[in-house]
Amino acid sequence: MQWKLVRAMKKQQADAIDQIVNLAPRLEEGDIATIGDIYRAVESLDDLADFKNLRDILTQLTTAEGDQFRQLYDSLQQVVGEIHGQLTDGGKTTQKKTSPQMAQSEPQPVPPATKPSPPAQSPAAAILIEETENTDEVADFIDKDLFLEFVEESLSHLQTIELNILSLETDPDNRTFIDNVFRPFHTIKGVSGFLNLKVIHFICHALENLLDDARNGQMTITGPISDLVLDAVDLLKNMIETCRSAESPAKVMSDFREEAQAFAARIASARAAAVPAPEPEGSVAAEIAEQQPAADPEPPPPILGSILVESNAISPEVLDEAVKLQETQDGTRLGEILVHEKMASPKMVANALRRQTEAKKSAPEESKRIITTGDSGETIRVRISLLNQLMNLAGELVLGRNQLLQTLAGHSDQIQGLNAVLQHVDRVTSEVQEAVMQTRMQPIGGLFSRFHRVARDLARSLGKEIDLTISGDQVELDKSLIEALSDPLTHIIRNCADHGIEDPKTREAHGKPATGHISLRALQEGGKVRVIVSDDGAGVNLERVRAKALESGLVDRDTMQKMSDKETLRLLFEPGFSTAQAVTGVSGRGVGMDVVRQNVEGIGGTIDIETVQGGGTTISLDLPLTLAIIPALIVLAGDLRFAIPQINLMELVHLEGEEAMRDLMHISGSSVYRLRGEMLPLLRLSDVLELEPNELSARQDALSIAVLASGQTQFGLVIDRIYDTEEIVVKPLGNLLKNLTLYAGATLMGDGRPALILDVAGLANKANISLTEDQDFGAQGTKAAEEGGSDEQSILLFTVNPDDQYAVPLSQVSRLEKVDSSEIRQAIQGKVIPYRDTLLPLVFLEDLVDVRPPPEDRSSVTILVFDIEREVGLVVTEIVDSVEVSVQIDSTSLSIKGFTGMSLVQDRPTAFLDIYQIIESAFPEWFNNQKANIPTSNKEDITILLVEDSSFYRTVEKNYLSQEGFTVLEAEDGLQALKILKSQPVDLVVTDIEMPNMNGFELTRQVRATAEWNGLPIIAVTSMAKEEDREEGKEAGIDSYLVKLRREDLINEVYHLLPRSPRQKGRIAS
Amino acid sequence: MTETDVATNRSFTQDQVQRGAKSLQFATFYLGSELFGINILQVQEILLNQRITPVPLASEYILGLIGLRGLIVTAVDLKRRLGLSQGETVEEPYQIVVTSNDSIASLQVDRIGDVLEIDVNQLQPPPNSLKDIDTRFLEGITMLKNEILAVLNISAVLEVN
Repeated sequence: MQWKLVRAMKKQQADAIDQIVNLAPRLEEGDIATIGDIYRAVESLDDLADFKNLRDILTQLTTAEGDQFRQLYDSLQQVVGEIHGQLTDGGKTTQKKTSPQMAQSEPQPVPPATKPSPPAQSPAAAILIEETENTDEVADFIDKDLFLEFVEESLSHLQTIELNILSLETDPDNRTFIDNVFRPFHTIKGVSGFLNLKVIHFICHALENLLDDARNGQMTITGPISDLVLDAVDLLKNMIETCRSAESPAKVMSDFREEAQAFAARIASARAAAVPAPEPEGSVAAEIAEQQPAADPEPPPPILGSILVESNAISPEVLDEAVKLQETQDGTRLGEILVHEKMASPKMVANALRRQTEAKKSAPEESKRIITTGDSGETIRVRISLLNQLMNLAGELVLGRNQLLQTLAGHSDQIQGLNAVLQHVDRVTSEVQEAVMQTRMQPIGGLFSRFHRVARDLARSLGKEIDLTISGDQVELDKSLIEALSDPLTHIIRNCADHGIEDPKTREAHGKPATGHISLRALQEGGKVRVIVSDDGAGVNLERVRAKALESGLVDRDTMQKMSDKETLRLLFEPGFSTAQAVTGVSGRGVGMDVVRQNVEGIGGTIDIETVQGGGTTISLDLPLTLAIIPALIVLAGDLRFAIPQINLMELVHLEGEEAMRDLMHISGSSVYRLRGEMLPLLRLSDVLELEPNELSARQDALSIAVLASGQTQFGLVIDRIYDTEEIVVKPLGNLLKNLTLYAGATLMGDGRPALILDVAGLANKANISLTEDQDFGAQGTKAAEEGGSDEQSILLFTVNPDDQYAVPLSQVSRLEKVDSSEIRQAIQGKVIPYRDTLLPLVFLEDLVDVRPPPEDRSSVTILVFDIEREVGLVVTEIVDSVEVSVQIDSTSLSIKGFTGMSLVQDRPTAFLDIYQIIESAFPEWFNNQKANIPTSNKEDITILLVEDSSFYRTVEKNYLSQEGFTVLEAEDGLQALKILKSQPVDLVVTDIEMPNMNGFELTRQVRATAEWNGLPIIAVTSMAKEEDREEGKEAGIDSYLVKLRREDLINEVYHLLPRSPRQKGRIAS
Repeated sequence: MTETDVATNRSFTQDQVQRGAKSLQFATFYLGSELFGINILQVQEILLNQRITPVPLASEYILGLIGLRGLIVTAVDLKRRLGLSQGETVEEPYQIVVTSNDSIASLQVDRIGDVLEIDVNQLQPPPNSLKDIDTRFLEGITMLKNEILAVLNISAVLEVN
């Protein structure tokens, strides 16, 4: 209870007690109506430890019947008298009455009006119903803060209730749980009574009556009763939430009055149904026995804990921990837990138990005190705005510290002891900042525990059996993040229950336990928190996902065929996707996982899904620890610093020198970088932000690329300079800048100047890097990698005449330039175009080979720049696409010079260019200088074995070699190669490294181990560029290591190595 | 819309007048030769020589961001915001940090004037056209001895349309 509320209540306290005392004689006279008055008076005393006894008595009194009523009434008078005496400093006390314990031996006459009657019509309840008919006005002196405190507190109480109700379902007789349900209701009732929130008060009261029956052992809180209580929790939550945002709580109260009345009737009938007809003597005896703590076979655990703490056997923290453990282990005694967890020695516990028994004998009523678990009142509520202010100030302090350190750095010689002082200031400042940050952190457990209820309700409504386990509830996250996680997690768990977990019969039929299992876990991994929801249900039916995606037009059939299972699964996150066969009340209302994804990405997180058909589904969310402070990469574009959230940053690539630049391509205005076989679209930050270019951004020979991901979109951001990573404090941008989606906020840098935080999704949008494009460039590459499909090629499709489609391997193109036709000049040696400082020679396909001519009216053309011997440009009309495809090139259907062959690409016949041949035929003089030392005049006598599993590469490379006039033998892997080597003479081997059955390394080792083939030159061609592979290759005995599809390199190397070949040596010798 | 929302949409000065204020104080400043005023209760502080971090692609009237004791404040080129002809930029412009409905911003002005106390009755609704200014940004005008004081409606100035 907050101090304000307490202070406000203190005022009423004295009046209330006087009122009780004044009313007492009337009560004795049998004026049963006064119980209601007393009751309400006592409500204002609620939750003050001093009056705990009084409260307990009153609570029981409202439901008591007959003799019990009498006894309670007596003790009420006694307690009231004592309190009154205390308050008036030893003044008058009411007449001494016997305590309830003593009264049991001498039954009092039953007051006439308290004859056994149905519990729902207990006098206090009747009066309260009447009360709610009157005007509802929240007391004037209650300010908004006070009211909000009530709201927060009540909501947390309701949460406690919910948890304990759920615990009771498995352990209905556990007194602790029952008390933990009863007590919070009672507190809410008390405060709501004080605040004059009558309807809330009224419902709590009715519930208290119901729960008291459970406390008295007259009913168990299971089945319909727990449903009822949970419904009540929902109703109260609803009312309290509504009150919070409403102008007038009183109006809300009257709005809910009817509902509350109906609900009270439900409670009453439930009580009537559940409680057996009262048998005065028997039930009183049971009641008394219940109240006699000494009669308990074993002492209740909490008091044991406090004895242990008082005797310094254990610390309060240890006790809290043990009590928490106890809550998870139903029915286990605290002592047992302490001993088992080695928190206390068995001897200590035994001593404490003995002391407990003694204490109980001397002061029985003491044992009714219950230690509230966990929350020992050591917290206060603080406004978020105050925390934010503190955070700003802490940030400011850090800046001040930095400036101080800088200013004084040079003066440590002159001022004695300066260093020590500065270090101290430095450390304290850091700690202050850290501590302030910490204030925003909350354990995720508060959120997680809500899902017990969600899972239970779902199981009920779906007719399934579901068990939810939770772990990692101590993992801490920023408060605002926890709030933002609530909806997505609820939705995911609903999906697990509805779509994932099968009904019990199906499960058993599949040999699974009838009860499905959902696990909710949180773990901290570095600067991220990962939340994982997994179920052991049916898994996602990919076929159904595909069918649904096609049906809803989400993807077309072509795209679908190219999609890997993982990509297919990710379709679930697309807008408007739901695989539930029937639309149930639980999920499948059109909003689906796409909203979940949006929400998660909205808080800077990412979402991923994995599924095993028949085995279950796992959804994991990667989240930043806090929205307020995030690790970020600071980069420079133009003259400005920007922060990129680390969570979006995949890796950094720095390119320098010509070699590295080969993986960079420019396709019609946009750039692409080849990163491990995937095409990564590139954006230059200074271009996106339309900044003035400076000397850094103008540099052509070096590039810094930050590989960024937002959801499924991945792209490379070219930045002018990379600074360091830093923990930055995220600050929102003002209203005036809210419409800029490029920025996620701003932060203050060490020098006090602001820097903008980039919104990676916003950047991608701005630059039009959409998911579809991403699939074209990246996702298919991923697919190829996943399936080990070495036959996948990146090719560039283009046209000269719109009706003909041509292709070249993307890796051969060094860049693309779109130019105006008018820029092409006629020079002496042919057509050229000015490029940088030189003239780029141009080749026109239609001039060299017999193809359909380009349209006459083309105003602009695209130039594919190749770097073969020299840079040369191939002039084409239009770039169609850049795709990764698996193709079989048919070299027979197109055996024209200049082409490798034909294949179908995107359902169009496509001619694959042999660019080397084309350039050679255009500029034959470039190629004449290198074939000098051919060992034999007849090149057909030279046999080269080409070992390559990919038919694409095999076709292309065979072309290179046979165009030189060599005889080429083909093998698909190392084993086939060995067979060929055994059967016929070979002069040189060209082999791939990665191959099935036997790879290039192994082939080389085998060749080197065979004396017969001693000295046989082996050239490896590979797309792997890793240094350790080179090393391995060398060790195996590979003579030369080349990159695939570089014709001149290969041919040069062949000529270079051929003289070493044993057969050729023999020829030269002869 | 709840009552409180309506209240926040009303201008600050109107609100004050509604609550029975007899006279109001305005911090005055110049844009070129024109005199403007801001309700002094909305002025947090006045700064000189601020380093401003530009915000690429923001509206042209946004100058950028200023770091102010842990806060990040958007700096507005008030001349452009009001639609006043460019005019020549002053060498040392002032920044008036203003607050409105929990939001904070800084308005760049040419020159700072006096604080003036104006009788509520002297305040007139803005004419349909005044000094080429979009009148939605004006709360009212008042005639001084030699010039006209135009009172700005800060919440309108800080509102994105």
